[in-house]
Amino acid sequence: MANIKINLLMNKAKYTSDLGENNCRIYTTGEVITEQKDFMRGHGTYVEDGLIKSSVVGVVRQINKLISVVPLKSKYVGEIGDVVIGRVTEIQKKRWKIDTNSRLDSVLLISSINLPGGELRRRNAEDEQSMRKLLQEEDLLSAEVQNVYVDGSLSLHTRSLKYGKLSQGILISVSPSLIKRRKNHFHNLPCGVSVIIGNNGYIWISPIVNVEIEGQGGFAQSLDAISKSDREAIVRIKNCVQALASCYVMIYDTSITFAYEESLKYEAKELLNHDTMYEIGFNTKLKLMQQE
Amino acid sequence: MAQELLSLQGLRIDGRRQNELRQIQCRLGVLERCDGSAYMLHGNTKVIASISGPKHPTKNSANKNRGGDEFIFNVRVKFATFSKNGERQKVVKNSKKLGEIEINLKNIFKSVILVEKYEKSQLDLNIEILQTDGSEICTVVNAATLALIDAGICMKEYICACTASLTNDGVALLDVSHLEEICGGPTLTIAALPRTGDHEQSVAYVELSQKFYLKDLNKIFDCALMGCEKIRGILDEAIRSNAFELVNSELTNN
Repeated sequence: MANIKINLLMNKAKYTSDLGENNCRIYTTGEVITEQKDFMRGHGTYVEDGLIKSSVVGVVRQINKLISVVPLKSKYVGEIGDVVIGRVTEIQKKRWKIDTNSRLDSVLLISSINLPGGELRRRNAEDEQSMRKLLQEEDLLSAEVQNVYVDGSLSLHTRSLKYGKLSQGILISVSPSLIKRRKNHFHNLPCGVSVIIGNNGYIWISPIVNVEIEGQGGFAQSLDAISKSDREAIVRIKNCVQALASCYVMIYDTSITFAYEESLKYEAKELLNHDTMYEIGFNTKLKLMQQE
Repeated sequence: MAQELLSLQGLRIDGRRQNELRQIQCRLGVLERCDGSAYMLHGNTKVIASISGPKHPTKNSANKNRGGDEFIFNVRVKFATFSKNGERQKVVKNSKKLGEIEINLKNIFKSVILVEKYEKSQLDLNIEILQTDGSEICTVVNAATLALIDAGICMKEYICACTASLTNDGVALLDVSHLEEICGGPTLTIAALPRTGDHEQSVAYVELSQKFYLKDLNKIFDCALMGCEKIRGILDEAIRSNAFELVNSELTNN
């Protein structure tokens, strides 16, 4: 018989647990943060009657005299140098529009990619006409944030061999606040899986491919068959990341590796069970805390 | 109607006192595939609200809004086919009643969202009413507030809504159920920005059905505003407990 579980929305289990005592002061919408006049208001705040009030629910971060409130869950707000994963939504003259889980679509200019062949040369009209050959609508790519415009939209670039079009793999989207900022966001895990953790909450899991050899500026697409063991490893990692996200554990290479080790006693498909997800998330959190 | 809204013992049809709310339960972040969501039970009225966005405007809504850079806020309200008592209802799309509710909600929330932060982008609010038992609009507003907060949208203040009614003897009743709605008596729906402290409450939306004496207006108004204040407390508690959970697990590593 099929094993079916039905969870009511109201009884949806909470997969979080108190591990450390941590007394963060939470400010809610409309709450007065400070009455003193000599502070500056940052993101997530507004001024009314000379008082700085919070406009979102979150924790206060103070940098010298600048007060901002960081919401617990929000759209991705880009910073220069972030690694992001995006999906092409539209092709315009000289640019691609890319969905990066942020408030506005990002732009990838044709002048900020490496053309096939890798050599540096002028972008001519012919290149503009063949843009669709490089990236079509709905294609996925990895890129770096080059610039943030005044209105908050991002400009991306792929001027490195590690960035470019993504071919075979799985995309998971989690909340951007769960991604830990690190030096490196490209990881080849020992289990034969390569993971790109985008700062925008999109995570790309794929078999390890050697980018250097292809020399196509990262726009080649390999569609070779992938062995069953590789696919199983990919799916397992995907389920682990999902388990971590549902338990609100920060996602970075160490936590994924720990969750993977933790998950080995189960089959990959069993990881979709909510209780198993919770166990893995919880154990990973314990391990991370021990390590600290 | 033969039935009295308030018995001699001072109890209402469902056994509440005159100024008692029905049971309210709420959860934030119940749905996974959207940016913010909330589930709200108010007595037997059940509502799910979900937010998608702020995001790049879809072509369709960008065309409608030819002005260009403004904030686009779409509200869709849907009554489930099984939501009303008894038989299955036919789904009516774009009915007048729904359209009115949608426009009202749009105006209510545009008054609290910090619109200037969301220029050029689009925000969709989808509301599904699963079960109705009076005070639907008020439940919808409360659920939508929670969903907006869950999505991390910048707002000035919570908006809480509440209803009040009046008996024949001029006693104000808080939080009207369906049975009391159909028993006659006026219904006042208020959406307010309650502020604890020295600020006065400001009202974002008022709807009044039926006539009654002017002298009773203040009574019924105060009753509903008091309900808003109580509901604010309940929402605040739900939001804080939800936030604590997230903070404790997430930001410890940051």
